Amino acid sequence: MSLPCLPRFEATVSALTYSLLDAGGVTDAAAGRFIQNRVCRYILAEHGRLPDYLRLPMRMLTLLFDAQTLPFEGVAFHALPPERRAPWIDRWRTAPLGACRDFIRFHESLAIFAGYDALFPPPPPEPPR
Amino acid sequence: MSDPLRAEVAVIGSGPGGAVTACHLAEAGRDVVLVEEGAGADQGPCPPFSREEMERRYRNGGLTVALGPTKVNYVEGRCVGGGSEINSGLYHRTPPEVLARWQEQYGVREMGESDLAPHFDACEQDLSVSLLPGPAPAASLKLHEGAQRLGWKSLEVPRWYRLPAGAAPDAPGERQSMARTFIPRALAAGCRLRTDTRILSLRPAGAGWLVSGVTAGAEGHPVPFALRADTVFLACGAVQTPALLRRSGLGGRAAGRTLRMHPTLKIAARFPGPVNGLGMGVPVHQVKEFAPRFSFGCSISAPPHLALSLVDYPAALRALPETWPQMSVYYAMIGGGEGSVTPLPGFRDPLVRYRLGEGDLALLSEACSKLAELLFAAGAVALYPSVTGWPMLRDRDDLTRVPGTLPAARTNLMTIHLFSSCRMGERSGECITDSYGRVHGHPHLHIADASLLCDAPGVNPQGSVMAIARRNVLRFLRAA
Repeated sequence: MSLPCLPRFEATVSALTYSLLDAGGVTDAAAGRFIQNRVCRYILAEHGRLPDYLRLPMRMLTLLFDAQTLPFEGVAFHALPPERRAPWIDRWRTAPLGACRDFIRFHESLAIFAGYDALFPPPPPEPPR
Repeated sequence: MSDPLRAEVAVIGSGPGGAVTACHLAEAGRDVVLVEEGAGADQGPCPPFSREEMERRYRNGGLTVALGPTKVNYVEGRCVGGGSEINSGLYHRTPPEVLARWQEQYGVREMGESDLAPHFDACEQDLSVSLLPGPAPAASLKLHEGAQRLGWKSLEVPRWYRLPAGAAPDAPGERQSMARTFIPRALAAGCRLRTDTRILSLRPAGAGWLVSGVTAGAEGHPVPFALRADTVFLACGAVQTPALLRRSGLGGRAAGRTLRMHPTLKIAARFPGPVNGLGMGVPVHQVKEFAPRFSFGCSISAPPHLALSLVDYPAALRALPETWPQMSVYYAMIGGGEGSVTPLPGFRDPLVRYRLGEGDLALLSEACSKLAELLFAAGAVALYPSVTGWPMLRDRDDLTRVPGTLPAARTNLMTIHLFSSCRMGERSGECITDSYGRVHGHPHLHIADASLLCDAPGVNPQGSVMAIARRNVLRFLRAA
């Protein structure tokens, strides 16, 4: 069992992805959570594909993002109810520190791109070579 | 470790430069091993410009960035065929004034328009470079229409695409990438292809080279790889080639320190009527009125790419499921800035840095305003430049709100064109290779990729890379 006050990497990426997809209007009533879970898996995989010198800093930034709510909400970001997450995302989106802004933009770009890729599947590939 | 593989020539990297080089060497009867870090086509096709393609064929899943005050996201192919598998397939010859500049500033020999013409001719024939047989996509025509209304120079750019026999003029063509053209020819001529093999270092061994790295063993586990070759051609691209040279202690101080690119700013545009559709072909028009300072084009505009360009405009993003057929993405491209490639001890991926000066950001601002003017002339009713915190532009009056210099930290740039990290030429200290791609001081080590281009060509560079690779490898064969 995990404690809501402990920062968790995968849970943070998941909570952030759900919130960003919702804010970006990427919802598909027919497919529901299927799209969102697929996008989460993609973003977690992309974390693993980052240039290797960026992986640890990005992971630490994710945990820091998760922990920011602890002093104020008593729980980590990932344990917040969805309706209370947006202000914490906005705080980092508009932060004076570029690393915070880049962190949100990184996740938002991936979530929106993958979300729309799922909503509007690309045409079939070229014939096999 | 078992005895190293042996070859007369090793070509490292199977993108446009490496594929052309390997093909000509193999067809001349040389014993060639072509080494590619990424996977081969045996993984099957994937939809072009899709998330799946990014995961399978782009280096780092597309998450490569040049760090600096203004970050530039860039992408590189990492698969058999390299960049030719993921780019839009637009073709240009190197402009004559660019070739003249390279000859004058860097002392490159035999690099005039007439010197390269036979190589361009041959590559164009090999890749079936041609104009579209049918009408261009509507979004592409909008760019052309806007340029015509303003009296600006606009052209349809040819592509390396071929329609299957009997196909309708508007049918999707087959991309004549390296994996469809030069690599099959090389393999038919006896070239051996090693995929999933990453080269970590080169070191002199006797009169040749020992190429060391890792390859995919049983069940994909990495196992050591070694190849002994008399001659090595590096064709890993403008980032990986200097990184490999520097990891190997080769190339001198200038290797990787003269990186150039085409920093590109995107603008999403909404029109009153439809301009987009699922499966819309690659846009082919470019506006060269202001070249070489900057030029415009139309980007891939599938809904995921449109969404990406609207991240800074939440209201427009939320409306996208309804509005996307009326929208398309355009770009303004400059050639400024300078950067470096630095291997980091203990890390696999090199650090890439890029710096744009005040003048570059001012030029981007001017390019943004001019492109916006063109799109309004084409009938756009809303424009969304990729600058965080900017308002949407509704008409030409809003252009007065565009600042004279774009904000460094909030301008979101990208590129797929990187080059010049190992310049060719005869200026010692500035140029890593001679005029023909041979690394100074190492007669059996050559470079055959975009690293060689002396500076930004201002046009899609694959045609230049292929023609120069062909010129250099044929000279190598004649000399030998």
